[in-house]
Amino acid sequence: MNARILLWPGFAWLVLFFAVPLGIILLISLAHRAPDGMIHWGISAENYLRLLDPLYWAGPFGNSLVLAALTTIVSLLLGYPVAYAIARRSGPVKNLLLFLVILPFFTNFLVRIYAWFILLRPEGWIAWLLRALGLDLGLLGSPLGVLIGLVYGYLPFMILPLYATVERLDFSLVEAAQDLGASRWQSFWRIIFPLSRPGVIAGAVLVFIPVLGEFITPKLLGGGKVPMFGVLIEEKFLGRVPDWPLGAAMALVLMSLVLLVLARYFHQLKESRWVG
Amino acid sequence: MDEVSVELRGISKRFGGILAVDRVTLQIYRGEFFSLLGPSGCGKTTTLRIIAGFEHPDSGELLINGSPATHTPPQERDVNLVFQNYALFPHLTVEQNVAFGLEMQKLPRAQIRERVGRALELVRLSGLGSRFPHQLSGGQQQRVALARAIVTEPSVLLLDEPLGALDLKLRQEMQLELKRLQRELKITFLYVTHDQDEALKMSDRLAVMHHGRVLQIGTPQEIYERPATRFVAAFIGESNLLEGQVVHTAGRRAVVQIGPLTTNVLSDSPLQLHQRVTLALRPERIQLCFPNEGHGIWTGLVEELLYAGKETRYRVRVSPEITLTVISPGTNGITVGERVGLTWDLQSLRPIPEHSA
Repeated sequence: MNARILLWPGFAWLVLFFAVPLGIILLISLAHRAPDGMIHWGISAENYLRLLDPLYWAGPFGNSLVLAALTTIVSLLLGYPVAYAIARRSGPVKNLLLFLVILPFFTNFLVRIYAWFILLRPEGWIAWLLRALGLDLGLLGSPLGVLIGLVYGYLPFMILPLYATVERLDFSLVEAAQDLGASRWQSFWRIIFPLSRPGVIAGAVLVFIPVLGEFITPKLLGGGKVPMFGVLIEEKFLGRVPDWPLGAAMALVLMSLVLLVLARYFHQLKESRWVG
Repeated sequence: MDEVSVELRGISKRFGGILAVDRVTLQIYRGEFFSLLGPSGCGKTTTLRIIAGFEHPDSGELLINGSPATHTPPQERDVNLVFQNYALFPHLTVEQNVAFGLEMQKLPRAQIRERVGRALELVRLSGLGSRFPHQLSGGQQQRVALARAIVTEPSVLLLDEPLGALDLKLRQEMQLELKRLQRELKITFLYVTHDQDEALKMSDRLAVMHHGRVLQIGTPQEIYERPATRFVAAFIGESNLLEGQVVHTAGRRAVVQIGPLTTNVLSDSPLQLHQRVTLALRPERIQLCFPNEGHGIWTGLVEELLYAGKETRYRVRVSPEITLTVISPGTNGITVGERVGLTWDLQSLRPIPEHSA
């Protein structure tokens, strides 16, 4: 039997629900804006040219990039020790810890972000606690509040690939390093961390890319004061002043950027071919 | 040769309920090729890891170059370990692997490069310095592991079954190579193996371990010719073990009764009358002759015969309860079912005191 037949259902699905809609979005992005914000078909680059306006890329787009980068870095700093600690344990405790990492997924993402909304608002106990400590940060509606929500939401996507990588590491290499005179710190930075690079890259990609297009977290926790690119795109389609062609162009620009990041990711993976 | 390089004094280590190392006391001299030999699980690797610093003994004392090292972290011990699986750093090239120890000592770059070059030359890997470990064969990886361990010039090199993963031909080649390295470097080699052949061939002295205990320490010849316990006699080479009782003594000479048979025995220390004793007799030390020649010590019936080219193995029944294994070079026309006489030199029959393990 020809195994290629097995490709067809999935392939057909992708063509129908991914390639075709993407083509439609491309067409919309080349159209003109109708007075009601909908589509007036045509072929022009005007929407892309409008995106060159610093109004878009300096503000929302810059915010998205910076917040995606910060979320990735903070997730890595918080997630690596957790992944390492879980990977080095054994038996039932390890499984329990892993379960705890994925436990948040059992609750709807929107609900969880709403929970943060309640926690972070001025009447919430986190703000109250901070005020008691003399810190009036005004978390809700600030970039910091959005960052907290983003790190919360995407941390598991950093921990899981890191865990998978660290768990497979051969820890006799650490003994070898120590035998040759390396301190714990040196054997971590010279051996363990470089060898966990595939996990770091995978985690960074899994966090950075979705955060770049995020709109729920900044919309709820940013309260309109932290414009991100994803929020802007959403507003162009569903907001009070819609502009579908411009929104489509924005979505495609974001997607191209994501593809660039992914290309870089696969290039990195190829470089670390000594793994496995 | 008399300077002590590594000394273990009553070292014990327990894992859970199991006593992995049981009061091991050893002195390993400077420049010596010393082997720890025993079946898997005998505690030899744990002993090695205690010396390397990766395990801490529950009791006992460890001295390296005469100074106490029981609580010294592995980084600070003047010993390097060649790991069984080599433990090469997969993301570093051969040169970077070998340079690792020197970089940890913060030596100047030029000096590192020079010493790495020399170490690679010593293990005959010059020209492969920029390869990654996965691009090398098993034997080459083994050499990188050796180069990485010797480049920092430790006073003791610990080797944990370093040739275990290699095929027979390569293993024999590396045995010679290791001996050459040890001669050239003049450092102490502490070698762990379960391969008695390897241990006998390579060691200056060896210790036979079983169930966490050292049963016997000696030169290969001492261990092979004068096994101290039944286990050593059976583990090192092959032995026919015969249990009997002393029925007559005259100084170092004795007569031992084994079932219906008797034999003369020459022992190092006088045996007691009526003492129970186990006798070890190597199969290759027994000669077969025609029974009617009259000078056979015992006679027996050939029950089995295995021809293996350079030698032939026989299974000879000498009494209803006792069979002996005999190994002779070549063939001598003997067939299954034939009656044969068996003779041996008196020195080949070694008494082992019954109380030993």
